[in-house]
Amino acid sequence: MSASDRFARFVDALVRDRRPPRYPADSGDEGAMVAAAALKSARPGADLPRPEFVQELERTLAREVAASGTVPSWSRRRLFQLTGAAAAAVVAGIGIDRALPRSDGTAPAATNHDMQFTDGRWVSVVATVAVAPDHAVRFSAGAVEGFVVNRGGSMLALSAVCTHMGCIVRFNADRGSLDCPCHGASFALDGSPINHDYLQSLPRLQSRINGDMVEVRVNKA
Amino acid sequence: MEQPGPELHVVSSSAPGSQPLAWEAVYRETAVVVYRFIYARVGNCHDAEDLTTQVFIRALPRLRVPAAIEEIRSYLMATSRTVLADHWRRHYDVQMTPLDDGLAVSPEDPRDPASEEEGIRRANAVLAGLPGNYRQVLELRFLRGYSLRETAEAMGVSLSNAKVLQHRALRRAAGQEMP
Repeated sequence: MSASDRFARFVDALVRDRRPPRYPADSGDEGAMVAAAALKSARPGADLPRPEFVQELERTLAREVAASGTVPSWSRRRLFQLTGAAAAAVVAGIGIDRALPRSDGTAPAATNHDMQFTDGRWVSVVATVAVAPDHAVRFSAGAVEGFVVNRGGSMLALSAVCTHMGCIVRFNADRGSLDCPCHGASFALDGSPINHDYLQSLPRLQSRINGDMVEVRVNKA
Repeated sequence: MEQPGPELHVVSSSAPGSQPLAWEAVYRETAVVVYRFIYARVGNCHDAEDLTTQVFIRALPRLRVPAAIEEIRSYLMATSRTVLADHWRRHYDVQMTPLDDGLAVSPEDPRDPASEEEGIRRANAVLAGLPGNYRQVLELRFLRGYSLRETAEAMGVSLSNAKVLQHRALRRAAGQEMP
């Protein structure tokens, strides 16, 4: 392919808003490439970011800041909106143990997105018989908004805070999913996103069965 | 002229949730500005998103808040230029000097309605200075989003002619004085 063809493909990608191909450009074409980018950005609205991107980057940065312990950081309310309770809990000093896979190869105690309150308390949230197979029941306890889910007889607890914008998801019995009323995100009953791959799963909460009740571990405050 | 921005206020960490804290405010004030600055220099959302992410990830541990918003902005712009230069060198093997901004629009406050028209105004000024067929090929391609084939048909030239015209027109546009 000639240098001129490669340049044409570069321009074509910009016009279609695709990621342009990489290639060693002819010296002397730098200015023409920048001019193409500038002309593309002149189309009204072309240079405005996707809201999902702005949101996702904020979430990433809030996590980095929370992890590094830097203050001042994001407000606790905003962190709840962005990441669910996890990052906000860090800021609030509750302390969350993000369990990593064990080096000996045994199953990890928890996946990366699990929420564990090291300084928490067990709260009884719903009777086991009240959660039918493949159904989810809402609960609120402490700062935690969640669902107890019955997946083929085994119980688990998930955060109910949508990982997109922080709305509270709803159980959709027809589809067997947890759906967000705000922007249409949908999660399977194991918490994984169904229709938007870029979303984080709903965080899983520590839960246990005590007698006839499902208990969930929540923050002490 | 840009008005001086407000100082960012630090809120004591003992009162979380009461007011926006500094980083949150920094991001809100700068995310779109940085993205538009970069978009005007790469011309596609995929690279713009990746590079904007790089800018903030790099700047995050180095920025001290609170600081005047202009100070933070100029730090982010400097970081953007470095990230852009790396991008061009790594992927296209070309050296862009930090000030080689070509026709790219400057990072006005996106809330300023005048800046909405800024890119178009400058693009039109550039196009107006070009010979007729150069101007036409760029208008069709970039402002109307025609494919190369559609452009060739509209101009009554062959596909390969349209390709050559587009290339020459962009080189000529790049060589022009900034409007």
